[in-house]
Parts: sequence; structure tokens; C-alpha cells
Amino acid sequence: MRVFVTGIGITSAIGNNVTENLDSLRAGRSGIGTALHFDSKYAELLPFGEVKMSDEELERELGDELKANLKGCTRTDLLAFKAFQEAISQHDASQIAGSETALISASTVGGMCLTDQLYRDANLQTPSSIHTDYYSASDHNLALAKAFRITGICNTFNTACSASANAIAYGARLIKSGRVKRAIVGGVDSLAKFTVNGFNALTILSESPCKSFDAARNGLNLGEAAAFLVLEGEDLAKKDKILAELKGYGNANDAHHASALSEEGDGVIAAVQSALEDAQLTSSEISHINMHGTATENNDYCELKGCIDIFKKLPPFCSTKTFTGHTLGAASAVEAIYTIFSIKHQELYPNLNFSAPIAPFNVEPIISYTPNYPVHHVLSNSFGFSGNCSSLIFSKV
Amino acid sequence: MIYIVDSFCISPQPSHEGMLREDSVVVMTGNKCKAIEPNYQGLIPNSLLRRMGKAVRMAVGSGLHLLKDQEIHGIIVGTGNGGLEDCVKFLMQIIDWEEGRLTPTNFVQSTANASAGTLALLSKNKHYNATHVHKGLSFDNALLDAQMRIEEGKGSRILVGGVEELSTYNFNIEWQRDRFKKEEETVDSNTLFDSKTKGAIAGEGSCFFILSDQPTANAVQLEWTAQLNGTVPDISHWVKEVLATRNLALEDIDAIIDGRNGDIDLNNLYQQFTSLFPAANQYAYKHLTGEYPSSSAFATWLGAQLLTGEIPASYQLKGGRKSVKNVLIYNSYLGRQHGLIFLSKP
Repeated sequence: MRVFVTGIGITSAIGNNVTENLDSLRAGRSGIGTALHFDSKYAELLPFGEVKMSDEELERELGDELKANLKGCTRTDLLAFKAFQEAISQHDASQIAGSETALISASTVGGMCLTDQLYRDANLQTPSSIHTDYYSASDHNLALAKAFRITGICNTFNTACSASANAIAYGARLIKSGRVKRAIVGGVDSLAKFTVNGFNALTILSESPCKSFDAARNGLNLGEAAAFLVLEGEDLAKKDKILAELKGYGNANDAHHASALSEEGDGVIAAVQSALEDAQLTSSEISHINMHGTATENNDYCELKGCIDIFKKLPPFCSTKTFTGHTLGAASAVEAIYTIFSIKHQELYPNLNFSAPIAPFNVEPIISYTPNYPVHHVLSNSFGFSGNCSSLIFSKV
Repeated sequence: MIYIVDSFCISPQPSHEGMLREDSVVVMTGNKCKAIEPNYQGLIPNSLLRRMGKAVRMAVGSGLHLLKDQEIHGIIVGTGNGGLEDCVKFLMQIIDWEEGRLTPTNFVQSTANASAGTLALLSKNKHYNATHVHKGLSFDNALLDAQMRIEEGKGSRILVGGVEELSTYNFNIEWQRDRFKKEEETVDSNTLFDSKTKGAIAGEGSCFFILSDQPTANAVQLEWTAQLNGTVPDISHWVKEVLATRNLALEDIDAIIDGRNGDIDLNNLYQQFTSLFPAANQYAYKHLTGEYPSSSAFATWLGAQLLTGEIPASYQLKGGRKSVKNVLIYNSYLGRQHGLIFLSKP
């Protein structure tokens, strides 16, 4: 059973919807800068990939009925609803309801963006707040399932920064095994004191816009986003709605360190190779790689090491985290949508802020918008804490 | 065919010693059931043990037993809350130090995938690795994931487990919503199911299994799982529908294990379920383990024990059938998520 993407929805620092994201990628317009809505001491000190809408604006877009049913929800939920609604906008909502559609999502921080309120609730410092049903990583998913009356298989992954890649793969596997006909898959994370302070404690946040695959890279920027894809089996997908095929996926553990990749690139190699095997493709058939490319010293070195080991000569590659920042649990879904753009429009997007290659590899990412480029199969990588490595392959239909 | 060929269980009962016995049943009093943990010396290096949060410690402490000397093609964990204690400890650092220079240990330990990641790291297992955090269906999805991996031919032996820690913080958050009983209500294992109030008693635990495509002498077959999301007026329609699609009649079910937890709001749901199976043996466990999101892992362990031997009378609500060849497990989390797991004797 082949699995096709028949709908997409995205909200990120470079756009509130699909069209705006595509325009920003083409124009080389990064969304990384000063955060206006994020309440943290670091909002003034570090650049972030913040969604350019306030909670109030996001809430207004929900409409009155949803708003009334989501009392106490967090920015994470609001972002998820916005992207989800766009993803299903080309489908009949009544067909999505019921048990034949799965909802598989991902998040790392969930509702912990309400850091201070969670602290008070966990320590019984205030009377029960209205937020207690929205703190967990899965709460946005439960709210979506309820609002859109999805009663069948629902699941939430948290494998850190590869979480939504696993959500996407799981949805496809459910379709292939005949358990569901359709799966809505993706992920969401919003900026949170919790993650910003965590990454800061690990000293991997950059004070400037991140320089992925640059010799002088000095850390990542955190971002926020939500992205969802509608996956349908070949028996269900309408031809005029098909955007790309989800051709394969791979997952492996690096088994090296809790918060760093192995310098041999073991996990990278295992994830990419298993994705190629699953897609029944050889590395030479891959037209383009959307790298994990966080711009930390460790990630970019190890990712290049692993990929060069497999590809020998790398196809054109980029890290779109130079546009969006690292959106954690949403990152793989965001980047899946960007690879689908590349496939649909036969074009490549730049890796911003690059000036000098990393020794000893001496490879350069795509540095400018490249239209009219033949794109057949695209690999998208995602690697997370605890050694979780995942790769997806999307193909032109 | 997929089989449970090995397991290890840490719970508020002395389950880590192996088979449960009636004379070692621990009667729970109050609104919290803490796990009885084994001695991890010799299994987990001391330097790591000191840094581990409780969820990670229990997961690693049960999973590692099963990873010894075996080729395992994947590690899959279900956990509704992950390492919430470390989460809140890190939150406290953020607030107390006003986002100053913090130590990252609690942050790294708090990520839900720390259990599966640490298991991979300590066993040098580079295969498939996933963590499911879908609240009351976390373990059910972990089981489904493992089952699909085996069906896909992507592995013949997979470690799968469910883990949850009971911390002050998650207790406080849930307690505010009447999900756990108030201190002043005196309940114990013997009276919980007669309770007329809202809320369960809080629990924790870690149950891990080896799933394999090859049976062993004491293997139990994992036939299928099913899930329903959302609240329903009557669960029996769905249960009947699921059984019918698997060509099972209600009378085919020899034993049921249900997730009743003493919460008066959920009594109806479990009543609707059990009334479908008047002839089946009936078991429950949350009076002895407490409630937690991935508790269906304990139910699965109990079901496997039942099919391969005996379980203490304290778990039995109703007997009758002499020979039990299959077990249907039903668990509901807050009446919003529902899971069925069907096990049988090969």
C-alpha cells in the first residue's frame, strides 16, 4: 500500500500558513529575531524563531465554538489547532470524524510553556487553575481528537527533536497495515522557559541567528511551530490532492550519549540507511537532503560525517532551521512540509548564514534559492536527545 | 503470531520477585501506592543510578533484566508523564534562580524518552527506539508499535514496556481535579471498590516485556489491541463491535481484567464492560497498584501471569471457570481513553 500526502498545514516563525511559509523560503526571509510574545528574561538576550501571532490573535482564529471548548488551553494547543485546521481544509471534516482516521502527533514541551503556572499548580500554591488539563505533551492531541471527533487510533510521540518524524512514520504504518485509511500526523511545540533554560544550561544556544554547517557555528536558536500532514492510502487518496508520496522511514538509536551524537555518526548512518532500505532506494537516487542541521558544534559535524559515509558525494542539502529555529517536537513535520514544497515546485531553498565549510568535510550547503531543479526523492533527517535518530523520505508522484 | 516470552514488573506489590503469592500481597492504605523497588546494585552503575529520576530508574531496572544476553531489535516505552519529578525540579530551578545559570541534569532526565534512551545506551542497542506519551494509551500504543514492527518483518524480538512514577507534583496536579481521593477518606485495598467518592488512589510502576515472533515454553500470545478515544455513554457497544470484527463471541472470553479504580464516576463504564461477560472469571488490580496512565502494562503482566500459572485471590472479583485460555483486558483512563488488550494461551 502506497501512502500519499494529501493535505498540509503549518504555522511557524516564517509564516502563519502554507503560502506564507513558501514565500519566505523562496525569498530567503528568516523568522529568527527578537521574540515579542515569549515571556522570559532570555527574550531580550537571545534570538528566537517565534510565531508572529499573539495568543489572543491565535485564539480569535479558533472561532467562538472551539474557543469555548478550549478554556485553559496553552499556546501549544492554539498553534496545533491552527496548523491542523489548515491541513484538513481541503478534506471533508465529516469524513475525518470517526474511527477510520488516526491522529498521531508529537510534542516535547506540551503545555509546560506555562512554566510559572505549572510550578504553582504542582506545588499547590494557588487554587486549582484552569490549565491542569493542558500541561502534558499529549493534551493538544486529546483536544484535537475531541474537537474533530476522531475516535480511532490516537497517539503522541515524545522522542525529543525527532518526535514528529516518528509520528509521521507511525501514521503511515497504520495505513499500510490496514488499521486505518487515513492518518493526520505532525507535531507542535511552543517557546517555553522550560526548554530555553534547559538548552541554555547545556550551553548550546547561540546569541546570533544560527549558522548551520558553517565552520563558525556556535549553537542553535529555539523556535516554535505546529505542522500537520494528511496521509492517505492509495485506495483513498484523490489524485488531484496528492502532494507527494511518503516513501520510507528509518529509526535508530545512537546509543552514545544522553544529549550528543557520536562522532562516528552511528545513529545518523543507521537511521538514513534504514530509511533508504524501507524506501527501496539507493543513496544516489536522493535528489536533496533537508538536514537536521541545528548548528551545534556536535550535530552538524556528526550529521555530515554520517551522511558523507553513506552518500560519498552529498546531494544539495540545507538546514531550514536557519529560517525557523529549532522547533523541537514540531521540527520533523515542519521540515517534511518544506521537502514537499521542494518536490511540488521542483526547487530548493537556501541554508542561510553560511560562509565557510566545516573541516575536514569541505562541503557547502545550498546558499541561494534554486528554482527549476529536478527533485525526485528527498531525505529529511531528525535527531534528538537520548540518541533518537529518525529519517523520512518523500518522493515526487 | 506474536508472543510475550519474558517480563519483569516493578509495582507497589512484590512483583519484581516473580510470581505473585497471596501471602505476600501488600494491602494499600491511604491515597498513594509507592512501588517496591528491587536492589539495582550490580545492574545499574552507581554513578548513573544517583542521577536517575524514579521513572528512568524503574524502567532501566526492569528493562535491563530482559536485555541481557539477547539480540533485541527495538526498545519501545509508553509513559503518560515521563520524569515529571525532574521536570518540576528543573522548573523550580528556573523560578528560584530567576532563569540564571542552571545545571542541566534534571532537564535531560526529565525528557520522556530518557528511559528508552538510557536502556539503549546501557545495552548498546542501536535498533528502533521510540517513546509513546499518549496518557492512558501510552502503553497500548507502545504495544501496537512493537506488534507492527514484528508484522513488518523489522524485528523478531522487541522490548516493550510501560512506566510511570508517582511524584508529589503529578499527584498535586491530578489531585486538584479530584482524580485522587482526599487524605481524610480512609480507603484501603479491601474497601476501594465500594467507595462512593470521586478519584482513585495514585500508583506507579514499570512493567517490561519481550515480544517475539517465536513462542517459548511459557509464552503467552498477544492477539490484538484496540483503542477508542473520547467519552461514550455505553462502552459495551464498542466492545461488542471489536470482538465481532475479531470473530469472537462474548462467551469465548474466559477471563476479564478491568481497570476499575474506585472512582465513582467510572463505575458505570466498568459495570457496562463486565456485564457483557457474566460467565467469565473477573479480576481487578488497581486496589493493589493504584491508578496511573500506563497501568495497562501491569494488567498485561497480570494477564500473562494468569495464563501461565495463578494469581492471588486478592485480584479475583469472581471465579468459576476452571480453565482459562484467553484474557480480555479493558482499561479506561478518566473515561476519555479506552484500551482493550487480548491475550491467549498458544
